Amino acid sequence: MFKLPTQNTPILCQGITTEMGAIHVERSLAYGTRIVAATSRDKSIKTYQGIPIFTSVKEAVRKTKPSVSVIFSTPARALQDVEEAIKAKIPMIICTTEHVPLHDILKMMTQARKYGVTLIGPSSTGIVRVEECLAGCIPAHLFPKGNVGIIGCSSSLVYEAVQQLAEAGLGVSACVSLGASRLVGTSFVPVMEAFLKDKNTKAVLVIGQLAGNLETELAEFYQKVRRKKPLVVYIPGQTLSGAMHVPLLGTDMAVPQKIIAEKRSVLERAGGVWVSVASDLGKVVADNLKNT
Amino acid sequence: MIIKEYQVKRLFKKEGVPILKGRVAYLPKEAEEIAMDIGGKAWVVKAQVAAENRSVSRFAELKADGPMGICWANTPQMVAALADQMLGRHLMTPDSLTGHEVKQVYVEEACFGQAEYKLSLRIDFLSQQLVLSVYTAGNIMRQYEMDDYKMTAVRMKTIIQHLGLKGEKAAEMQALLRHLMALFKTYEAVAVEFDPVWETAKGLVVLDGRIVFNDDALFRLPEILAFREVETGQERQAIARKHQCRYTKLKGNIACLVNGIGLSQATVDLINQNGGSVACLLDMGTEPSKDAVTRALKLALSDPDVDGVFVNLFGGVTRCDIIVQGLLSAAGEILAGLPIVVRMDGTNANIGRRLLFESRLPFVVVKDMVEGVREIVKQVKGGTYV
Repeated sequence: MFKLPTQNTPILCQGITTEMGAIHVERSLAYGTRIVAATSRDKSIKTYQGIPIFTSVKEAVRKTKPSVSVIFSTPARALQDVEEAIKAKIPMIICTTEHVPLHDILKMMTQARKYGVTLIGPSSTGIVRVEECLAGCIPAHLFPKGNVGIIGCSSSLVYEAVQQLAEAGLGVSACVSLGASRLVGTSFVPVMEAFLKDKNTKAVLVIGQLAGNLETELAEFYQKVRRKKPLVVYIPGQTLSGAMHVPLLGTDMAVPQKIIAEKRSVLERAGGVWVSVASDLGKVVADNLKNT
Repeated sequence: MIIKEYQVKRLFKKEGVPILKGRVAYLPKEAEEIAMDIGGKAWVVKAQVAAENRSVSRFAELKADGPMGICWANTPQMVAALADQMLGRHLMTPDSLTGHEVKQVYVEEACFGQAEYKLSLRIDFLSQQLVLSVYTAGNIMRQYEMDDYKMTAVRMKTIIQHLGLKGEKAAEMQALLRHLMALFKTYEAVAVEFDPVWETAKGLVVLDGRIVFNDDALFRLPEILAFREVETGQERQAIARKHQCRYTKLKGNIACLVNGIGLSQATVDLINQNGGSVACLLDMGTEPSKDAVTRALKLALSDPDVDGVFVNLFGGVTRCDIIVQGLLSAAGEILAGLPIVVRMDGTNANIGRRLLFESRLPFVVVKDMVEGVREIVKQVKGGTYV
């Protein structure tokens, strides 16, 4: 089950001595995140800013009991690192690595299902619970505190959305990045469930993608929800069409218009709000919050 | 990435998939010799480009009644004549504006028999799992979800039962299914297709097929990476790819420099919604380096279709002032005179904007995305496409 981390959530960082790992652990600590342990292949380093560094995830789990692991790895090693975390049964694993081979992602997803752990990503930028905890590489300093929950596939577009929310006088309760990969470990629904339960979240903004079925799945779930919170969805690439755009879409479909129309109608029937123009994101969310 | 037919067939042959006799030729004379060598009474000449729909696409340089990308020939001389028409010309498949240059033709023995099946094994991004589709002659399709990624004996038995095959035919189909899975795993494919599979006197034969590769897996498949060649007219794409930048060529006259795929698509949307059109899109990744920005701007300015550049960047962990240094490093090209509209926000955006202002280079700095889009559309009005 997906749970939003809090300031008390114990977090493990796998790959602290990688370039990205070092930068983002530093930033997460400064944000007030409770990082309890880290792992590194480099045996010579034992601690970093008071955090114990282990060579194996198993040992780190035995000694510090983290409930989230954030992984910084290379495309070639990501599968191995994720598998290590899955086998150590860490309840939630966030893989930040981009460009992981698809066959490796398939393996990760199967393993995660088998062991009953939540895999976020790969190519997730992580989770930020604003002013509480930062697990991953989100530029959390750009996120003002507020009551909009964000779930996003793309990262820079999420930052754009946050900027627009800020200009509309709004802020963010938490933001979860699912990853821009064509295969992802976690879909919108479990995160939406967490946001519906979260008392600091009054509305949810979803930045989706053309590929996949995640938005339709979310709309079908939302239709059944009795105590709704406003749900606003934007999908980039709405004006693209034809074979020419296929490389841009990162998918093998040639008729995005049809997919967009379908996703939109399912969402609107379920009571969600569709955004057609990227620059209206902040305004639409603000309008829908006013009505609650 | 997809590769050419003769390359696919090389991989099929290595795996043991039953295919027709055929070879690749670079010259008309060679094509003729191959036809004589293969023997038989008829041959098929196939233009080699890494694209779909060859059999219904024509050549840019030839008239509308000229040959298509795949042709039948009754004599070796006709094989040579067709090869001569195809080689060096551009096949206008629907995925390309300028067509793909034909550098080789594939000469294959003609096949007598009947189209029976199409087999397709692919990662289905909708259901997020492996799906096998089996099409039969009447275009009836059955799908099998393969959540364990295995071609088990039980599964093959079910498929063969559904097809109503018995004896030798059942064994042949079983072998094809095994080959399909083996190819899929060996080459970490997104999709492998045997299309079409014909029933002939010699049994089931795979006439054509395709393998769609996963670019992210190619680092451990040097054999496949070696197939990658730079097509004429695709040089910018190749340079961009080398530097982890995604370059997409479109029909308009505005170049877009953006970080991140989502923001890229949203930017193209906004330009389309405001009456402009995009010449090329350069997605530099979510957190671009200074050099990546410089290279992307130079690439954009080198495209002859470009009448103006729209830079839409959101600084996250990468600071805007660093991004600006990247833009300024392309100063020489900037002075060439095309309008450049810059919208930047996020980390250190104010410092970035000030640096742009102080550079005294002709940047137009705007406050948000929509303003930027309207500005660049206005600046390029009167250009070739608006």
